Amino acid sequence: MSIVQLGIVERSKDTTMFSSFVSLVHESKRCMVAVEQYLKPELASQIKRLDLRAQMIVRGFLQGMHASPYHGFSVEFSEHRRYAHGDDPKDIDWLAYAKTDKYYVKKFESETNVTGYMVMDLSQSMGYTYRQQLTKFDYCICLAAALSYLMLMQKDPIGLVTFDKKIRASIPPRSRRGQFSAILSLLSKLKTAGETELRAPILQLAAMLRHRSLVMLMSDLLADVQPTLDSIRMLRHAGHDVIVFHVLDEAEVTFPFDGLVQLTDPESGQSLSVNADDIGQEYRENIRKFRQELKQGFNESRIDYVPLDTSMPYDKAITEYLLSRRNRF
Amino acid sequence: MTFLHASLLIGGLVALAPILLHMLGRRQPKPITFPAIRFVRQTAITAQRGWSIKRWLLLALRVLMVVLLALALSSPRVHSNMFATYVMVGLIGILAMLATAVALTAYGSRRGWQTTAIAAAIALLLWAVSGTWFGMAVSGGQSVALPSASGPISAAIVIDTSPTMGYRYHNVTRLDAAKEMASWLMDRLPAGSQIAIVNNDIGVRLNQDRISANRQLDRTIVEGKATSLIQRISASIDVLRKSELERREIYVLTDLSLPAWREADTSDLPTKLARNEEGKGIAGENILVQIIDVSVPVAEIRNWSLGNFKLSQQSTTPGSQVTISADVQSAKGSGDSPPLTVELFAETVDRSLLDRAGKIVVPESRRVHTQSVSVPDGGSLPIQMTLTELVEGTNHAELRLAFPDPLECDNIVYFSVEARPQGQTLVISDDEVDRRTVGFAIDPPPTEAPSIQNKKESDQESKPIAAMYRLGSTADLEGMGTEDLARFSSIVLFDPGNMKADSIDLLERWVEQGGGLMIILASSFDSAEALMEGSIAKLLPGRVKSLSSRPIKDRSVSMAPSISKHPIWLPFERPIEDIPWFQYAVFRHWNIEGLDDRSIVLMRLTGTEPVLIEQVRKQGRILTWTFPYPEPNKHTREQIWSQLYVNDEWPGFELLHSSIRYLAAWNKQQLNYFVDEPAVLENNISQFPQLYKMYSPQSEETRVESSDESLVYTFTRHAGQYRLKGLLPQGPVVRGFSVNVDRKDVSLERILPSGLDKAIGKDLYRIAKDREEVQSSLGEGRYGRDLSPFLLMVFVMMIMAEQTMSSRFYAQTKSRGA
Repeated sequence: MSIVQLGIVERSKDTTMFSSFVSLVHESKRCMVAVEQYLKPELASQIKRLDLRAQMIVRGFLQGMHASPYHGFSVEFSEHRRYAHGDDPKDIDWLAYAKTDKYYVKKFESETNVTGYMVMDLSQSMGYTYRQQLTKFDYCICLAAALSYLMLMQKDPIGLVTFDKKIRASIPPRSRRGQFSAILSLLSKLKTAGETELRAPILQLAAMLRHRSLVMLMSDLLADVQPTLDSIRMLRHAGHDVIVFHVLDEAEVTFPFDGLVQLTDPESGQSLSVNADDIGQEYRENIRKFRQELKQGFNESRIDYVPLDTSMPYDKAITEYLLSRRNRF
Repeated sequence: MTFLHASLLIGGLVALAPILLHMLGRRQPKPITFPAIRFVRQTAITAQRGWSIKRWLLLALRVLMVVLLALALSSPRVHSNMFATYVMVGLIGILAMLATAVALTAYGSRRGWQTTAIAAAIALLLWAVSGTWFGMAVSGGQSVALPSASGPISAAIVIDTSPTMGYRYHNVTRLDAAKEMASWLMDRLPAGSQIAIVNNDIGVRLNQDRISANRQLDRTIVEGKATSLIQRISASIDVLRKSELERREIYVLTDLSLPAWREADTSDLPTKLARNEEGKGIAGENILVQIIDVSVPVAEIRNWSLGNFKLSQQSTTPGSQVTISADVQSAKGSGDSPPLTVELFAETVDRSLLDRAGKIVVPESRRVHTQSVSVPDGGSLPIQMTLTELVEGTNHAELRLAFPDPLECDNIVYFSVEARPQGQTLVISDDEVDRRTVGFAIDPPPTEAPSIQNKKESDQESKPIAAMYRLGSTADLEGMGTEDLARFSSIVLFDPGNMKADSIDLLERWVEQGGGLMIILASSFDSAEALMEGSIAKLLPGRVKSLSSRPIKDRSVSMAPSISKHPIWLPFERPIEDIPWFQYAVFRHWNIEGLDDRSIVLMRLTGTEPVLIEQVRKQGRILTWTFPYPEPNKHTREQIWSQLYVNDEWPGFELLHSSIRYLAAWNKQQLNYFVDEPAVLENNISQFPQLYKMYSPQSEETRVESSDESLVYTFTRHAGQYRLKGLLPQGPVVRGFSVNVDRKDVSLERILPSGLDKAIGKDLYRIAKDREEVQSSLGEGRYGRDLSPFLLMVFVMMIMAEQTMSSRFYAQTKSRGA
């Protein structure tokens, strides 16, 4: 089933943007990935207008897609400085010399692309859904699709890393068009399994990343708070820009159960019989505290923390986040 | 504890139903996969524990409800004395359950170990207290018989026969009310019961038949002395313990007046009732004591009475008079009395005392004096009446309060006075003229009635000595023995000098045996020291300190009476204070000091020194004059002691005459007694009969025989006049005495509950007033009190608690499920 058949094309008003999206889709056809399953055309058109910028200066190795208003290549004017002995004479701003009769050197900052990594938790718990509609992992795929689309639209290379106890699968960052379909293709094939373990895979990831990158971690983070924070902070300390998408199931946030229930942990297999009525309130409080602790911990390390649950429309959630991030930088 | 429907206790097995339902109805938890179980685990343990505790508490409550209902329906009965104990144990048990629930809830909800520990400690303490108390109550408590146990009862009906039981209320005396109640009680005793009527009769015996008991009950009368109910109850316990019947009960019918319970402080009833033959609390060994109050409501009590009565003398000479004084009293709450009339009735002295058909003909009484008084509420008013012209023999009289108040026994005072010719007086003086002069004072010549001074001359003409006195000197006294002195009713020692010690000892013994001695001090001694060194000092009431002298011209000192009432004053026809004693100066007198408690100063000088002193010595008495009357013969006009004798004035003469008569008429014979006091009359068989017929106030006749020259009659159980009639060859001899109700035994004050507790023992008796109360009290006493109402009340409380708990337990589930 194609997007045209679904009638999405007719609904899209920005046909230029959408054409690039369609081309991406076509490229992914050979992988038989239903892109529309993860990225709605409305969302694609909506986020097209946004960007995802790294919050720090990165030394990219490819040119960015943005046009520079200054001379030079991928260089952005920074400041004028008096010429000093030893400076490259070719950097002298002769126009300034003509005006002032003094030698000034033009300083430039290079503007480059940023490499994005989507790091996705593939533990068993990510495959959980209470309403039997969208698992946390599905939700993350949707997020990943949107973000990948955005990055690729910015000509930024985007890669994928999935992990449970260790890194399970990865796609190196690329900015070519086929990367989108490659990512979605891989994601659609992956099955959640195993226990959540952040430290080892993140250590492994940190070793993998040679340049400062934009790491977008998507996980339910169902582990102890402090080791989680410590692990993710390692990435931050390595100079990477980290965004944590903390995705929980709706039921994990609202605890909608009542009466006697026997809860079973899909990862460890442990079960617990409780009266949901008695513990509901306290559970919700625990979750709130858990999120609060994570938020506080990440904020201290200047890590973006985006708490999400599967009841939240991901398109809205991602749009709001991107807007807020753009406003910040 | 006894169960009326013990079989219903099996219903307690229904308590298994909630348990089974609980076990069978346990729901299986719904399996749910949930990754965020780590956040559940933090709270699950607490919540699951709390939920589980609530569930078990609810189950326990339901089980308890079933058990409680079964218990309530089986009608447990406990001894009424133990009812409060069981209720308290129950209440503490409820508190213990509550504390346990709080402790468990605190533990389940992790409220903090302090809260849990405190609640647990309180729960443990309460459980320990209630458990121990319950164990003690069950093991040591008194058992009760089942209502169906209608076996015969061994019952003692103790009836209070105190004087106050004669109180008339609604035209029924308290004794009649008690009898009626006793009869009603006997009607309700099961067939085959043994009944003892414990009343005036001596000894307690169990009657097998109702007729004997009724007869004994009919014979019960109000006595003149307060009953010792404690003794009667004690005797009843002894008799009941010997009964072969297992159920034993004592009913005490009393108006609870204090005199009947005056031995409460020393009562051994508490130990006696608490003890049983084996020393264990076995059913049937316990004796039920039921007090039945037949008293009049306190607000309704009205009483006016004659109290504190006193007779001036019990024996005198014919033609003399006696006074009786009494207080007209009003019981508090009686209100201000209307004018009350007090009447004095005198009985004609009957020397034959006719006996017709076994009953004496009581001599006629005549009213001789009437006085009206008004007494304020709760107050008293003294009255005094004189009975004059006493006739030789035993004179009976009555002082009556002529007012129809409810209690009659304290409205009458009976009294008897013996009038007999004055005995012979021995006048001892070493001066012939002096002793004759004193003799004339005792018995003046009837015809010429000369003045005493004129007699001085005429006496020298050896006028025959009158029979009423004999004259003698101190030397004559030395030759006498006790028997010789016994012939004299009084002795006058006029101006005694140095007498021999033997004579003084003889006189002292004579006085102590009932003689009346008059000592007139004059000039035989020169100084006080000389007087005190003489043997006569032994007979004086105090120490002679000095001889006071004043010049003849000094008329400032005279004598005056110290007390206003005394038999010596009776011959004076006006109050003694009205006699112009101040006109007769006293110039000399002996100062006597250090008077002992036995001495009464009758006359004093202006300077307060005593001049006429009466001293009681055992059964006799001594009258001492500290200056002489008449003046000694040898004195010149300048040596006179006072003006009393100078001008032949009558007050001095009358005082001497009356004093000697008082001493001569003095008789140790007691004729007035209180109820239950043994009456003792002297009976010299040389003068009186050996055998007498005794007539009680109820005209009951008994025979009394003289023994050791005295008649002793101990059965003075009723107030009134007791009459004795004996026979001598020369004719009948009639004697008598009076018996009054001691006013200490007539008190309408009630014994307090604390007093009853002391007397019988706390919780060892029950008290009731009317028939309904008695029935209820006896029912409770016999069959104990039903605990069902209390248990049902707790059951209702538990239903409410269960409702509250279950609604809270299931409410959230239902609301969430909906």
